[in-house]
Amino acid sequence: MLAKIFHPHDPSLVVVSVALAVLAAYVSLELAGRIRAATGWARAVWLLAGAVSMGGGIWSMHFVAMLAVVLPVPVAYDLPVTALSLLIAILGAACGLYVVLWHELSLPRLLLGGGAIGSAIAAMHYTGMAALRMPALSTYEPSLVALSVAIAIAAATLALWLTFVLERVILKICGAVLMGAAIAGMHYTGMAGFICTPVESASFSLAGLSPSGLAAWVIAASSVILLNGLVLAYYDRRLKRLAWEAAMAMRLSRSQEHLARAQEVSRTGSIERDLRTGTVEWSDQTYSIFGMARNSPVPGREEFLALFHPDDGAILAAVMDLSNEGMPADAVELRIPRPDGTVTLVHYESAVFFDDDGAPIRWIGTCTDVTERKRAEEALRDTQAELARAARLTTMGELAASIAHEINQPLAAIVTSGGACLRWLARRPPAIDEANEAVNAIVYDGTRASEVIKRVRALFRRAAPERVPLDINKTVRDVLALVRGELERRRVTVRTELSPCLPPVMGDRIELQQVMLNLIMNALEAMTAVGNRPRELRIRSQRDNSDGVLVAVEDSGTGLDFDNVERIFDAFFTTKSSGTGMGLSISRSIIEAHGGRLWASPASPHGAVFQFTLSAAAEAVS
Amino acid sequence: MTEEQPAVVVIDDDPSVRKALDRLLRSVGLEARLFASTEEFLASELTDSPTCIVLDVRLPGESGLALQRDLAAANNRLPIIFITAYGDIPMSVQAMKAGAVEFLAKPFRDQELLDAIHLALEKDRARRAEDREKAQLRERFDTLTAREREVMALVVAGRLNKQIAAELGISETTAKIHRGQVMRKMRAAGLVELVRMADQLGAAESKS
Repeated sequence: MLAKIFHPHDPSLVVVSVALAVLAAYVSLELAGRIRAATGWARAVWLLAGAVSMGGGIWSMHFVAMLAVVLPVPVAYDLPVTALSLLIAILGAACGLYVVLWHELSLPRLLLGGGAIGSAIAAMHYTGMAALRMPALSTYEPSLVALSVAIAIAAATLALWLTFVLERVILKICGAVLMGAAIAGMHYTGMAGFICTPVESASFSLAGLSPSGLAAWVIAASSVILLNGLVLAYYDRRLKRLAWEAAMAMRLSRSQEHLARAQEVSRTGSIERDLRTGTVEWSDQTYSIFGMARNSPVPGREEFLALFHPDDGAILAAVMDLSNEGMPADAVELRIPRPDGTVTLVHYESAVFFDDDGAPIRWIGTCTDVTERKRAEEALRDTQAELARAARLTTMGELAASIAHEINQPLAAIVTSGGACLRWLARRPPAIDEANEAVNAIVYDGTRASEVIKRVRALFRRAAPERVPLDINKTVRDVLALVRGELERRRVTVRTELSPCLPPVMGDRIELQQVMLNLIMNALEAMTAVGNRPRELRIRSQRDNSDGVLVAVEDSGTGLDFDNVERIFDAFFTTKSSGTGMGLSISRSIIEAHGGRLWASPASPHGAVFQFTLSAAAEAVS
Repeated sequence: MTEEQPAVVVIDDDPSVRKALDRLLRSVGLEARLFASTEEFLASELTDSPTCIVLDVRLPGESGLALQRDLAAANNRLPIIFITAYGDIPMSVQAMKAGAVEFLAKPFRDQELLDAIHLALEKDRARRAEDREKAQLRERFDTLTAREREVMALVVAGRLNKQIAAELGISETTAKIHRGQVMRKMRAAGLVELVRMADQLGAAESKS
């Protein structure tokens, strides 16, 4: 029976109606979905936009479908009731979306929201049907009415579930299709149960909205939905661009912050000069190094050079000229005098950058405040000098007996000659010639004693290390003179092979004497246990391969454990019962401070040889 | 008794000290013989005159203490005065125990050294006189016959002529004659002197 009473539809308009339903569902669900991410009044705007789109969509679908249906009588629509049906659809959709999206979503809210939207669809449909004005009788098949309401509620609930619970793009589209299905399915199910029976009535007039008038309204409503969609698309793009810009701004500011912090920590400021425009830019840290307020104008060239010590300003001017020409310049250290009388030491380095054609386009200079570092280095040097002195004193302590011997020897000669002199003078007549000779000897021996004392005093002296040209052979001889008594005591013979044609070396006399003293004393120690072969100390000086000087101290002692020979140069490493373990460590640091090397190797057939190199003075000066 | 010119041997490796000692010794009229090492000294000829050695403890090659040891081992009893620039107590104790006359730390007072030298030379003179006397006694003793030596030993032991005769199985008269020969050959004035001579000889015997 159903087929008999089902009114035919225009198929193309049916398709349009379904498409409109799906489109409206998609746009409205997308719009309403923004509620979750938005805050404040924007949520209400999104809710309203979603509700208008959905309500308008339901309404438009209904009336497009009504335009598609072919009824046996002419029809018109009652305007207020038609408008009411639109209002019902929009309000119902708003309620449903509000329940689902305004707060945290739960199953009761989902069911309630689905119910609200499904009911809105059904209520709009039957209100819209009530707006029909025609010379016919409208009846409804109750079972199909119930089915249509059930379809609307079920499909709408399922659509909300797919869209807002599962939250995946493909399901969102499915949700929109399903919501479209809720709208269209309800409508056509409802229409299946609608029977229009024409009646003859003279009093009937076709007052109200004509189908063509209705079409205009439907087009208007559809346009609103479309407009909403366009707004959404635009808003999306804008939002994305804003987000991207915000992200970029954040990255930029973080990078700037990072750079500023790094400059602060490393006390390094940068200066950048554009070689084409001549503009110069300073980093904040540069201002702070030069003690200037940030963002104050960058000083001009002369003004800038005047910030430095006059001598250093000239150096910097030369460096900057090179940079401006696009040529590489060496790093320099510059002094900045402060108003309080202190001096800041700056390490200045620069690099030139070129374009693809190889033309210089800019240079970047960095200024690092190295005052603290320099101070620490100086303190370290002072400490090392103190340590070296302490080690010298220790060695001199070990040598005390030998040194006393060296002084007592000439003193004994002096006292004895003095006694002899007095006796020659006491003769009658006095033996003047003999007395004269004795006094001469006294003078000679007195000088000899004072030489020894001078040598000892020099080693005890507290003085900052200096660099003067030295004859290394003289240094060797001075030290040998000092340890002569010790050599005798230990029954060690010395053989020296000192090359007569050595260049002078640049060094500190006392420190180099100390190294010699340390190496010789070690050699003597190493030979203490030797009883079955001669105890021989060999000292050799010669030209080094690299135009420097090489000194070798060789013993015929017990030798070293050459497997971990480098350990003997470690601080506090000692093989002696009474050693401090500092001697070789200090000797090596002294030689290295002189730009040389100190190393040990086995001697043949017995013992060890310690060698060190020093660069020639001429080389060091140039 | 006329005395030969005494000699002072100086062994020191320091030329200044050597020359100064030479100067001092000459100023008091002593002859100095200078050596830079013990080897140099041992290679030289010893003079037959009162001699003492002024010896540096620490020397290149053999040390002064070693020389002292070697000389004692060779029964050479030249008096030694040590001088050293190291004031080393154990060393000085060792030297004095081994019979050194004096141990002086450089620089020493000249008079101290001269006093020590005089003392040493005096010692050497006495030793030389004693040596000479012993040599004479030995010469005399060597002239005795075997029987006379037996008799002398018994006389010195305090035996009477009768006891000697009984012990040696000879007549008392023969014993008396031997005894007279011993007294004459040894040029002993009496029994007491003969006993002293026997002591000296015995000391020399046991020592050599």
